[in-house]
Amino acid sequence: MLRVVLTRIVSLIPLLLVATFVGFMLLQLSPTDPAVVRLGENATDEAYAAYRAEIGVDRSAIVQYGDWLSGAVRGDFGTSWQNGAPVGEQLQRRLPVTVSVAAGALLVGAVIGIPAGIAAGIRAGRPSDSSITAVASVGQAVPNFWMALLLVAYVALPYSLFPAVGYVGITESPIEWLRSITLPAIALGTAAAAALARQTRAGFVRTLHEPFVRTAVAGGLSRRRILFRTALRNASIPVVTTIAAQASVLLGGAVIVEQVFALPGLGQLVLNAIRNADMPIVMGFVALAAVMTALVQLLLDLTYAVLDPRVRSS
Amino acid sequence: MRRSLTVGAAGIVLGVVVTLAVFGPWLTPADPNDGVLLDARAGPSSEHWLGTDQLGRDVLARIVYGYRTSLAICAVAVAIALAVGGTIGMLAAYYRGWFERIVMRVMDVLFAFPILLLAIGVIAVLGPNVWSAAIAIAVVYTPIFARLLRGPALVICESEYVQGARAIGASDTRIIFAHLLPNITSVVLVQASLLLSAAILVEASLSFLGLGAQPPTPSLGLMLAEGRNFMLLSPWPAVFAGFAILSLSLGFNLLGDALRDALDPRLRTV
Repeated sequence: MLRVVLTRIVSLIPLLLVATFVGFMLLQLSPTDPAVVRLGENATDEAYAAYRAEIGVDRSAIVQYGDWLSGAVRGDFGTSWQNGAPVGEQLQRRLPVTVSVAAGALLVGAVIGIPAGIAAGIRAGRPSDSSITAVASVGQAVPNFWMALLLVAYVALPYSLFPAVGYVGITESPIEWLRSITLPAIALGTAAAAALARQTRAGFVRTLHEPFVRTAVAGGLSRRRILFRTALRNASIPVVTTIAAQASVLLGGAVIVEQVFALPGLGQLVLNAIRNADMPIVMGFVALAAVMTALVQLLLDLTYAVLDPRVRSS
Repeated sequence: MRRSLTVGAAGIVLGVVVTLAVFGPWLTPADPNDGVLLDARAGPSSEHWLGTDQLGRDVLARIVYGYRTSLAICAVAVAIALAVGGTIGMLAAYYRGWFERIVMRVMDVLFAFPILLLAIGVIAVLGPNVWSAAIAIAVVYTPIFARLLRGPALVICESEYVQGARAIGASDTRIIFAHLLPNITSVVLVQASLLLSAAILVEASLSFLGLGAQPPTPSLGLMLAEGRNFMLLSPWPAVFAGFAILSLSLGFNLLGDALRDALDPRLRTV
């Protein structure tokens, strides 16, 4: 188990290096001039040149990347070119919003999707299976921002149960926090629920055809025990993989849902930073996204080890 | 039973959508960009079947032309991603060694970025328009195709008939085009259809954020973005545009399922 953790942490280093390098080089191709963004279009050429020298973009791309990297390894991600605020501080302030929405969406997905998938898998081929599968197909095709708009217009605005916009921190008021992330989590979690329902169903049907299930039936084990102990454990491996894949999808999806609900999360920050070629913010986010992806992968490896003894012994 | 239902549903949904996209201009004579401000935000009527938007433009006409925009962008994007990613995946499986290690690590890095954010990053470089959206979607789907096709290609490369072809001295080109490619076609068709379904949603998201098609080009995501401010006064444009995106994505999703059931008998029971 310790080896799994260590291997994953070591593999994070090249991933971080390559991901940040690719992100940095992509930004170099951007036609947006950060000096024009900061000083407006009517500044003098001297003022533009002075600002470019101040933030260091007049140097070669490799030198700039090396400079960013040496700061990043010491925990200094620089300051935003747009507003001069420290990047680390901004990411730290906005991360809980995005993580709350994405984790809430994952929870919505798991709570709805997994039981629905099990129900469909047990009744494979019957009308209830077809109904669940059809609803899951539609759920996967629903645009999350459309769902978000419908929830704002037809749930948040007519009824005062959930706010239409804004976010309250969990430390300020846990109940208000829950209210503020419920609708964004539902909007974002619908497609995750559909994906999980389909994967769980497929995993369950596949497992129920395995010889060890037949042996369990022949051995006289109860239906409940076979379904929820033997089959569920084996069917859960592809489901766990889908949950991990959804984590990355939800992080991207949070960008768009945060726009609709006016949530002060990472999405809004990064979108503005990309539009305005605000390199320090984008690079800080790229590093954060790579770390989060690797952490999800680590959790996935550890879960595999718990679920499948063959992984543990290897 | 399940298989015929999926095929039927895919046929109906895609049939309606493709008919609207192809024959739309003859079905709805209204110009998608021609609006009468006095008719703005009108509900469905015999003159405007799905109502009008905030500029008095016919919503049905904009949806029909929006289908064309979405289909064109996503078809081009998936075709590029398939050509580049599929080739990378197949060559990695065939040649293995350092080539496989390097290209698949590069694909892994691209895969580590959240799809939508990588697409936004590419558009930030290229500037927002329909072709940038197509290239951005192609970039994010390239590593997915490479990964999806490498696995089945590896199995085929290790099969006895490929080993046999190598033993009798067949060239790499012949093995790839005569043995590898035909045997991987079913996987390609299924995955292309499923990823086209997902690409429709990514394209709509980019347009919604103002990073895809630019006004006045009719685009489903853009219609939603424009209609969101009038949701309470006149929900028609946003509601119908959302249904249009859903139907397009659902159609390709069902088509992918139907193709998988038909082409891979092992998955039929699953």
